[in-house]
Amino acid sequence: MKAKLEYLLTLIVAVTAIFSLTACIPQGQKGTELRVINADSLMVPFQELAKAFETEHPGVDVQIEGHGSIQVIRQVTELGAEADVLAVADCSLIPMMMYDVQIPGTSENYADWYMIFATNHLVIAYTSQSKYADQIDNTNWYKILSMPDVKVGISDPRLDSSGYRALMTCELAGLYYGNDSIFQNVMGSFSPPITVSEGNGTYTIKVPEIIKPLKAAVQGSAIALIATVQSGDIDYAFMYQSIAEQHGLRFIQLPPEIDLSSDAYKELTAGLSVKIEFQRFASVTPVFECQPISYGITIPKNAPHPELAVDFIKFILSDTGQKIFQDCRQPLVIPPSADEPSRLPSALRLLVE
Amino acid sequence: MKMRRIIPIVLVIVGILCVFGAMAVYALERGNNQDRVEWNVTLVGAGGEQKTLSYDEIKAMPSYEGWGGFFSTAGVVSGPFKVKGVPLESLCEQVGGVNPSQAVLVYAVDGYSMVFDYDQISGKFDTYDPQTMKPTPHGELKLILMYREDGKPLSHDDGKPLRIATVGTDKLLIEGHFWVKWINKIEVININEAKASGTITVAS
Repeated sequence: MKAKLEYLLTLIVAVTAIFSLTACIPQGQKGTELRVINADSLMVPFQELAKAFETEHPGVDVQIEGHGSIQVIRQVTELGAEADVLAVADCSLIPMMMYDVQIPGTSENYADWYMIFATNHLVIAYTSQSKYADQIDNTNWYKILSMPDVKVGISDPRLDSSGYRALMTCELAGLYYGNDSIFQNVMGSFSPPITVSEGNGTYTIKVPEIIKPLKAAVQGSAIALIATVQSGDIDYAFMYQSIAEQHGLRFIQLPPEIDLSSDAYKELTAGLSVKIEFQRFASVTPVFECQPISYGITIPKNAPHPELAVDFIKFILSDTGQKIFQDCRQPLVIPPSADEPSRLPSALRLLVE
Repeated sequence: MKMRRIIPIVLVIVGILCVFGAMAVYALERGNNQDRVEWNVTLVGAGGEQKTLSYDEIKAMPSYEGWGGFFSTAGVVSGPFKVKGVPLESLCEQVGGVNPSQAVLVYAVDGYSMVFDYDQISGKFDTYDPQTMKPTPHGELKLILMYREDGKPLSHDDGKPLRIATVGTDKLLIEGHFWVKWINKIEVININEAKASGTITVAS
């Protein structure tokens, strides 16, 4: 009888212990978690990449998280997130926000290299319902967009890289077509105004802290821009080609001198920048120089799984990765380049040109 | 025979430790959810007036409750939630108010900031249906400093203790960047009158 009581007691304690231990284990934990934080415009290909990478690496759970590019880096440098891979739509943000910022409690900075691995084109997206959809082409687009009954949309240049790049493209279009009024005619007036000034062939577009467009529509993100184009609230929107294609929108390809896919714009101007008069982040100077659209990727020095992060970047550039990017209409840069090839992990050094 | 006696004792000890561990985790979780917060918000008026309100003082102000939600730049939808807080206009009134020639800058403790023009302070935002994500007209909408979501205080990840939100009578969404977390300063600014002519100048 005593023995039976002992065993019953043991059983109760064992069951209680198992339940208690289960309660202490974080929910959803499975294998190694690779945390990837990326620009929103990379969400579609990166979600596909994550699935394929997990298939090839059993036990690895790839967590994909999308933000605006500045916010991607701030997650690590200012909000304390521990990420394995960071990928942004403007590679210049990596040195600007990571190279001189020390990891707390160490003498190391967050990063000292990046690879340029992808690019994009700025296009004009629309639907079959957009006004003059049957007439617009890559020679008359700025005339159609200038019509008073046509509603044009851009992402907010204070918040989104495709927003300030849309302003750059409009200014470059004026130089390319020899027509000073394209910027004003396409974008319309703003109150307070967006101003463009020139000195020695260098142009500066100044964006005020408040943006109230009188003609154009300004949305905070590409997601909202897509919704308003699809609903017919706006007729045409400047956005990245990959996003237009991923969402089944029609689009007009612009000449390479103005679509920011390469440095062909340098034939038009000595320099072009957008200065935002609203400092959204205390740590970021809001001046954006005109550069080709170059997606940058790096591994923070405090990444929990740096070797797996290297494998993930190699996977992006592998045949499988290239096919995923191709299927998602996101152009890769093959071979990739690096700002500081000697600082790359050796397995990645072999891949850069 | 000795082992037969030791094993149950060891298991009892392990069991007791686990039970206490689980109780400690529960107590910590519960503690985190308590609606007791040490937090101040600095209000700055356009004329330089300044006032600091504690979390409790903000909660004691007349509140507004309604539905609000948002979507992230990656398209992730949060809400709509039942949201409660103090209208931003009421907070601005504490330091001289806000008028159509002014805007309101809100600052978060992590260095993030956002500017709202007068129309937005008055509730003019593009709103979207959470099911279709299509732009959808809205009824009454207010910009508030929220402190409760679905009847509970905010968690850290949701902006504890104070967050900007838009709330109204309809279960609609706005763009997520407006829902600024961890607010610690609200400032009324004058929009430069000289800039407000509404033209683009191209100098060449």
